[in-house]
Amino acid sequence: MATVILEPTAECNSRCVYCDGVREGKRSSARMPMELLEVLFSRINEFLLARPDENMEVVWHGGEPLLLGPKYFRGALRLQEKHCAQTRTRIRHCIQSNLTLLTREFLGPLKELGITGFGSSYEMVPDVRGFGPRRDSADYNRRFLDAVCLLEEEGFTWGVIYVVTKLSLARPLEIFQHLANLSKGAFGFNPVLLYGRDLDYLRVTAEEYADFLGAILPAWWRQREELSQVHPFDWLVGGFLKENTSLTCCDSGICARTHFSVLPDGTISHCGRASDWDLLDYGSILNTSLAEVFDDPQRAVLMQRNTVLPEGECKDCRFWEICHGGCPLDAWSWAGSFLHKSEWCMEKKLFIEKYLEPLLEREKKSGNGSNGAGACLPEKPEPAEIRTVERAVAGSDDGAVTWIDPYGGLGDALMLSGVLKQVNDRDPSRKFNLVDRTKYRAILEGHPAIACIGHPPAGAKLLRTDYWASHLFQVEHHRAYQVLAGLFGLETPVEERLYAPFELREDSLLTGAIPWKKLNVLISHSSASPRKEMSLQIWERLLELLDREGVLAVQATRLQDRYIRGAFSLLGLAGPRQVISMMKRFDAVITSDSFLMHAAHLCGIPALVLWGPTDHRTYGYPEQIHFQAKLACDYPAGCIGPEHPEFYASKCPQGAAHCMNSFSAETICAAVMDLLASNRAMRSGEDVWLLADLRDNAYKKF
Amino acid sequence: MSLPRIVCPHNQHLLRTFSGQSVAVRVDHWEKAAEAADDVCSSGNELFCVIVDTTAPLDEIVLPDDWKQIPLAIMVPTIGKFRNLTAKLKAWRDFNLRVFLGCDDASNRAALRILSSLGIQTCAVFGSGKDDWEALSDLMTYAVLGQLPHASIDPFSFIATNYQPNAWVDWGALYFDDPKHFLHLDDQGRVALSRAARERGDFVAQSLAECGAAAELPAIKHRKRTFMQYFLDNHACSFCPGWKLCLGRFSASVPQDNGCSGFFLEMIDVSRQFKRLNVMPQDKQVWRP
Repeated sequence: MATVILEPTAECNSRCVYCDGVREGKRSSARMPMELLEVLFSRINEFLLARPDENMEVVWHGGEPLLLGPKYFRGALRLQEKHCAQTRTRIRHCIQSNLTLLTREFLGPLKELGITGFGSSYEMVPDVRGFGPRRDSADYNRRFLDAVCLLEEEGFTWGVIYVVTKLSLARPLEIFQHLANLSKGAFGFNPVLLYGRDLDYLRVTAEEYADFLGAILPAWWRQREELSQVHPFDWLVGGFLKENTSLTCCDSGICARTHFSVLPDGTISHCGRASDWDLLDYGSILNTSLAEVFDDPQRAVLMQRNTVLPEGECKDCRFWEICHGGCPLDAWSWAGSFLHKSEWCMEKKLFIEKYLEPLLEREKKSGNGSNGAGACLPEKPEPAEIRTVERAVAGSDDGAVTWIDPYGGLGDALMLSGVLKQVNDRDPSRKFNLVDRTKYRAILEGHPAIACIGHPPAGAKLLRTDYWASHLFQVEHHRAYQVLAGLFGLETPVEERLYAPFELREDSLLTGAIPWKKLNVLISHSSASPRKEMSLQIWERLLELLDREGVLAVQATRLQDRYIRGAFSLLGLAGPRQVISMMKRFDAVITSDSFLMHAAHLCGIPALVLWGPTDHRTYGYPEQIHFQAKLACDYPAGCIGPEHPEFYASKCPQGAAHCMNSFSAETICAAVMDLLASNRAMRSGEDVWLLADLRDNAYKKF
Repeated sequence: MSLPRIVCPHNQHLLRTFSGQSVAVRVDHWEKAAEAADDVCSSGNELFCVIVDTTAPLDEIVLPDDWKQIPLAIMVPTIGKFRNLTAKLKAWRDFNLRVFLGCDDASNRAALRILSSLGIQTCAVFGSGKDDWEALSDLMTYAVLGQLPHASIDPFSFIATNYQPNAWVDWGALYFDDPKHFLHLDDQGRVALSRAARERGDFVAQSLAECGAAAELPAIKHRKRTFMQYFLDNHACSFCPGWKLCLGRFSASVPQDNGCSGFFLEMIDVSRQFKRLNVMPQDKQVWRP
C-alpha cells in the first residue's frame, strides 16, 4: 500500500530527550496551510484514480499532530470529501500522537476520517519524555493516561512504542510487564536512535538491544498467543518461523515503492528521517504529482540495495528475508551510503542466534515444537532430567540421589513400596528421595528406601513410576509389578511382595464401632476410574444376599464414594494405613481393581476381585479369585488402556451394557460364600487342599 | 446518562425520594427482606436485589417459599451448623440467591466449597489482609476447574468466564464496589462511591439529584481512574503479572505480602485452561444421533 507520512506540523509540545527534532532545533511552529492540504488530497485522488488497484495510507505524524486542533481535522475531512469523492474508500488514515493534548472534541472528526486507533509512545523511566526544559514526565504521563481512558471510553484502540535506552537495560522484564499491563498487549520496542549525537547515557548498542529483547523473549514466548502484537517479537519471530511475512518499513526492502513524506511547507521527501537529514528530496506537492514522486530516479538506489547487499555485506546471511539489510536511512547514517546494511542488522542476528534459536531448540527437545504456543517453559530453570520408563536407571551413577516422581493410585504406591523394599533389602545403602504428592506419603512415609519426601531442586534426577508407558507393559504385556521392578534395576521376574512401611495399629474407635458378625467382608466398589466399577444396583443386590447369609459388609473407602445400601459405612473415616491395619479382622475382601485388591494381597486376606477393562493377568495376584468380564470391548472407540488414557476418568458410554455389569450378584455371592467357607477351613487347618484348589482356579473367566 | 444502580438502606422515605432507578436494598435482618423488596417496587424503582447483611449465621436464616423470586445477596459471617442447614439447602437451590462469605478462615473456605457442591451460588469475600493465598488458590481451582457439578463461586467463576487475553477483568461490582455500576446511599440519601466510603462518611454528593450526570462527577471520574496512579508511581503492582485480574486491589499489603501476585498469576493460568476446556475443537466433537 502506498503510504504518506504526513507531517502537518513539526512543532511538538513535548521535549523528549532523544528526539532528533528537539536536539537539532528543527521544531518550527510552521503548520501546513489548508490550501496545501487541499493540494495533497487532490494529488492523492489523482494518484488513486490512475491506479484503481492501489490504496493510500495517510499517517498523521509530526511533530505532534494534535497541536493542529480539532478544527484542522474537521477541515481535512471536508477536503477529503471534496476532492476524493470517488476514492475516499481507498484512503486509510492513522495517527501517531503523544496523546497529551487529546480531548473529546478531536474524536468526532478523527472517527469520521476512519481513524479507530492511536499509535503512541510511553516511558516509565522519569524525565526521559516530558514537558518543558525539565521534561516533567509526571504531568506528561498523567495526561497520557487521561487520554487513554478517554480513548477506551470512546471505543478507540491504542498502542505504544517503548524506546529502549541505556536507562532501560537493567529492567527488561519489569518494563515488559509494565507495558503489557498498561497497554493490554499492544506495544512494541524500538532502540533509541541517536545518530552520532553526544548522549552516551542513553545510547544502546545493537548487542545491548539484542540482550534486552533476549531477556524478554521467554516471557513473551510463553504468552505469545495473548501478546501476538508485541513488536519486534511478532514479526521477527513470526518472520523467522515463516508464520508471518509482514515486515516493517525498515526491513521490508520495498519502502522505495511505498513511502513518501510531506512536510508542513509541502516539501516531499522519502520519510521522516530522510527529511530530517535533507536527503531524498522529491520536490514539492505544489508542482509534483504522486506518480512523479514514485517515479523519482533517487528511489533507484534504494531498490538497488536488494541486488547489491545479497552479493556483498549480506551475502549468505540466512536472515536476509526478514531484514533486507535494515533501514536504508539507518545505513546512510552509519556508513554514509544507502548501499550498506544497517548497524541494527546485528541486533536481529544476535537476537535470533543467541536467544531465539536456543529457545526453539529447547522447545523441540521438550516436544513442544516450534508451534507449541502456550506450552513452553523457556524461562524456567532447565527441566529436571526425566528418566523415562524405558531406561531402568534407578541407581545413581553419579552420586546424586534420584527423586522418585510417583504416578498412579494407592495400589500402585503399594507395589512401589514392595519394589523399593526389595531394592533396599539387596543393597541397604541405596536410597531415594520421593517427590511429595498428597496421597503417596500415606503409604511410603517411613520407608527404609526413602531418604526424604519433599520437592526436588532444579536439575534433580527424576524417575517416573508410570510403568504403563513402558514398551514392556504396552506391547509385551508384562505384569505391572515386574515392569516397575525393572525400572528400579531389579532383575525380573521378582517375587511380587508388597510392603507396608509402618506399624500395623488398629484404631479401636473404628473397629469398636463396627457391629461385627461371624463373617465379615470388606468391600470396595470404587476405583479411580469409573470404568472399573460395577453398578451400585448389583452391589446392593449382592449385599442383600450376603446379609441373608449372615455376612457383614463394611465399606471403608473414600469420603466421596457412593454408599452402598446395606453396608456398614466407614466412608472417609479410615485412611489407607488404618484400612490395612484392621484388614486382618475381615474374612475376605470383595473389590474391583483397586487399592483394596493390593491391600488384601499384602495382608494375606482372601479376595474376590471383579475385573472389567483391566486384566487380572496384569495386576491380579494368583491367590485371589478373579471374575473377569469380557476384555475386548465392543464399543467402537475402545476402552481404557495405553491407547486411550483419556477415557480413564470417564464413565463407560455403554451405560447399563457396561462390561462390569455383566456380573450377577448371585454368582458373586456364591463365590464369596465358597471363599469364606474355604478360608474358615484353611484357618482352622482342616482342609488345606482347598487353598491349592483356589489357586488352581484363580483365573476364572466369567 | 442514566445513573448506576443504587445501593441504599431499607428506608421507605428515602426510597420515595427517587424513582426509575435499579435498586439494591440493604437490610440487616433476613426477616425484613420481603418487605424491603415490596417497598422498592412500590416506590417506583426497580428491584435489583435485596442485600441481607447480617451477623447471624446462615443456618438461622429462614426463606419462605414465596421469596423464590426475590434476588437475594445474603452476607453472613459463617454458615453456622451444617446439620441445621442441610434441611434447607434443597429448597434454597430454587431460590434466586447468592451467599457471601468471608474466607479468612479454613472453615468458611470449606463452607464455600460445600455450599457450591450442593448447588448454592456463593461469593468468596477476601482481601482483609489475612488472606491465605494458597488456600484461596485451592478454592479457586475447585471453583473453576472442578469437574463435578457445582454452583459458581464468585469471584473466581466470574473472572474465569470473563477472562480475555488482552483485557482487564474488573470484578468489584460483584461486591457492589464499583462506581461504574453502583452508588451507595446512606439513610440521609448522601452518595458514596463504595460501601467502605459510605461507612467512613466519604460522600461525593449530598443527594442523587446532584448526580445528574454521574459519569461526569469528578469523584466518580477519579475513582474510575485510580488505576492510573499505580502506573504513574511505578508501583510494584504495575509490574505484576497478575495485574489484569487484580488491578491493584490488594496493593496495601504489597510488597510485605506478595502472595496475591502468585494467586492471580495462577488464576490467569486457570482461566486460560477454563477457556480452552470450554472450546471444543471440531475434530473433538462426537457425533450425536
